[in-house]
Amino acid sequence: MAEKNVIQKKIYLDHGATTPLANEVYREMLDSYQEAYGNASSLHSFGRDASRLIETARERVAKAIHAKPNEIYFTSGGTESNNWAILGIARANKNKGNHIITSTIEHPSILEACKQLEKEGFVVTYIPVDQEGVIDYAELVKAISSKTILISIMAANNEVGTIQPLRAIAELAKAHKICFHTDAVQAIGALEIDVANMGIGAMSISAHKINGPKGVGVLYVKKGIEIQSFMLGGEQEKGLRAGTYNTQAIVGMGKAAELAVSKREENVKTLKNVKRYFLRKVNEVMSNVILNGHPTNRLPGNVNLSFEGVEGESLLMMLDMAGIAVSTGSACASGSAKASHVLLAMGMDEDLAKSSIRFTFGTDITPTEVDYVVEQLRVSVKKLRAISPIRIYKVKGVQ
Amino acid sequence: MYSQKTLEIFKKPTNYGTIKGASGVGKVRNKETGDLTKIYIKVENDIIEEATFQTFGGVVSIAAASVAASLIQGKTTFTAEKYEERDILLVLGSVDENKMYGVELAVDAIIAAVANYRKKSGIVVTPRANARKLKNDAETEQEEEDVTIDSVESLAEKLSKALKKLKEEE
Repeated sequence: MAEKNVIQKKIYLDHGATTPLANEVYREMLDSYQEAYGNASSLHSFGRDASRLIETARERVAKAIHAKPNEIYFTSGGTESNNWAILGIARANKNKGNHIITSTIEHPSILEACKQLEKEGFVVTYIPVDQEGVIDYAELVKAISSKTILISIMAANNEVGTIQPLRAIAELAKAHKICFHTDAVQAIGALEIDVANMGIGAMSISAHKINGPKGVGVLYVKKGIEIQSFMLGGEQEKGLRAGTYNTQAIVGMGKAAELAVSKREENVKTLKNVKRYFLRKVNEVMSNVILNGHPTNRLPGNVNLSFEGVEGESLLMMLDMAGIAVSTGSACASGSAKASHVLLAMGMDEDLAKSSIRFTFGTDITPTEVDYVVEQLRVSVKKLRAISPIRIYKVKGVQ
Repeated sequence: MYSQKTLEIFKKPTNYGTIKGASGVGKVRNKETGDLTKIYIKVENDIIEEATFQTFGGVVSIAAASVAASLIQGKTTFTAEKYEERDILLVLGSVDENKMYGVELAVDAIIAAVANYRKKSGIVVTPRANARKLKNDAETEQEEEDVTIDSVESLAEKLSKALKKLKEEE
């Protein structure tokens, strides 16, 4: 259905869900489609050409996180990496203990894997978070026992953007000789993570969150960490993850990881400026808006706001009608219409948790576009508040 | 995901707001999703002279409540409480299964509003054969008055903190 003479801006503010493919990544992938269509496991030159590209990608990813290439395993994405890390490490180390520690605000691909392990007889402790989404370190220390074999805490939260004290957790795990896994899917473009120096045992990465292609990710597994194979029936990835190599996607993963590191400083600076400008403008024209997550220690492109009295999905659709793409909570859970488990875990009132919208900016947004977003936001919230039965009280600060 | 009609009504709902001195108010909430719909009615000689709605909820919940409020206007309370989900769907078109709770809320709110009106005016209807049972929890008005939010930091405070920290970083 063509819209007549309507020039509508389209503004994408959902980079937390996925990012557009970078030109450099696209070009390398395109070249590899034409030049390296062989099966990377084949012995002939076609296979070797593909294999060479995969090894280059492996080196690039390894360099980006300060790992060794033989510690990098390619997967189908963040979910697989998370599933594999939790299930694979727990099952392989069952003889050492049956206790796993994670947090209440992890991605469902971690939480569901933990639930599966509970069915298999493992015991899982879920560490709570404070109002700003930071894990309770004292609780973590208390939770560790002689039976603990794995700690999995995300590097930065996908919904509210709060960054966790990775180094401290890694050191704690190291001191107790426990494997530490971190879901760095959201963080890798924003934080420098030196797995070797920090003593991280396993880490999940996804390409499409850092301007790479969808359907490919990485699980870093430190040499010496025992992990069960995830896919059976082939010698790929040392027999741990069987299946024909997705050469082109892996090429894209490698390039995306390289770019994420080389452009990190510049991107972080740009995103921080955008965020500051956006929040300032929102604060100028709106009231009864709450910033969720940590005020400063958060992903640079993430702003999660609760608009009191306004239900998130309705606001999302109003903004969508104005050409602005945002999300409620995370895209992974958006079908459910329930309040975000992350915000509830942070102790938020259920209505307020339902009133949250996540804006995840890209570096290409202009101040004029931010102004447009804020104006649409103001109008939409006003409209929805007029319909809402929720009374808006003057918000009192924390005592 | 949403029918064109649903989106149209969502974008421009009618009959929203409250009625001062309403004869009856129905307030229902879906436990699972937290969506909340209220219908206000002003009744004279058993005719609903005016009906309005308020909704805290998704696209379908808002559109369905708007349809519900306009459907019952000018009808007797007996006709109003006879409306069912399919009457609202006739206006909205198709609604996804997982968003149907919004339509149920609208119907429940009508029934609850009529029941509230009868209770307030001491009308006893026996047998109450017309209305179906509520599918969601009805809430009373008093509960709402108690709601306070005191555990959240205002954006202004958080923001000034954040800006200060950022300045320090530079």
